[in-house]
Amino acid sequence: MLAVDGVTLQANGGAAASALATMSFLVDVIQIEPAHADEYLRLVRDLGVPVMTAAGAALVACWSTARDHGEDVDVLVAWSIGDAARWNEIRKNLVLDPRWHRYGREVARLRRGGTRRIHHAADFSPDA
Amino acid sequence: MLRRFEIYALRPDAPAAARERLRCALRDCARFIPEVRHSAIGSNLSAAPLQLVWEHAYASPEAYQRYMVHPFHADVLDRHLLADSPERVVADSALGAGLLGYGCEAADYHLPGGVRRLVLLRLADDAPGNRLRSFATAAHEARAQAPQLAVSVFAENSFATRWFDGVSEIPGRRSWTHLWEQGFRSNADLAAYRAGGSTLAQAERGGWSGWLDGIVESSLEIIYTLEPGWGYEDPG
Repeated sequence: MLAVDGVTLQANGGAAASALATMSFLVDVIQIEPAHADEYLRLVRDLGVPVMTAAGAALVACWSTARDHGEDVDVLVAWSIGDAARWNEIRKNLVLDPRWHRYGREVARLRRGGTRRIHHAADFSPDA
Repeated sequence: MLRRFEIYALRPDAPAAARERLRCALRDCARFIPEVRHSAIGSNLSAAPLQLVWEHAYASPEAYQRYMVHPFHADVLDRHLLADSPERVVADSALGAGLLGYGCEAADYHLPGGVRRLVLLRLADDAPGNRLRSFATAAHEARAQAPQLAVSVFAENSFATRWFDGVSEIPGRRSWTHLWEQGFRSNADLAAYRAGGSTLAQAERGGWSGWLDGIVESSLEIIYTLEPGWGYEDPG
């Protein structure tokens, strides 16, 4: 389980260098047209998970909102990325992997917007 | 010291506000990561299809390594830059100019303000050492011939393959083997230098043809007005 919005701590520019010393989560929230939501999820599953896993990250959650509410679908994808040193290695592995660049191009083609933040588990969070 | 440049093409469809957030995050990076020194940005004015330059430096490889694992880098910078980020502002570029830099003994590159010009050079892999030394000497002495040059630093682009920790070489081809970093107090000085009679200005106007037995295979210029960031005024 991953808790977001209000129950996680978000790293920001003023955070101390130790903010990433504990387990951290890369959390993307993406807006997709309902007609493309399933294709987007397939890209995450078929391209994203293999390359992110090979780089050292682990998929924590991939959630999406309803398709039939007359609004864009939100897709939330959360990856466990370890501490700062671990993320530095993961990032290097991604940059050197051509599959990740392809994954980036493919998902960019579909999304209408979104955010990326690094979250940290609160001490009462189930994943802490 | 380590001198470093990140040079980006920006997505044409990126919202202006998002572009501005990236510019501010890079320019004022030292506010959040104290290891970052002499941080400034600029908008490229040359014909190269690259729009944003971030110039900065580190006191040592260890300082650079602290930057690499800093939360501000991981969270704020990366969100604008990484290929799979939904907030990516930059675009892919085939020019191989994304990350450049060199090692140096002192901050000879420092320019209080004005115009920066970077000449990215691909020199022949088999260029003799004495020809490389001649180029370095000519660049070092260029200020004597062209007083408009406030800064002239020629160096091997060692950062292109050492971007992970500033030390370890990561296998891969460098598009640009060397950098010639220039500084001018004004656009007028830059124009006067380019039109002038110094040895290097003439060689460059001639497309480097035949210069030092033709060791320059290709070059690319980047020009920008310096927009100093947080703490930039410290010349140390």
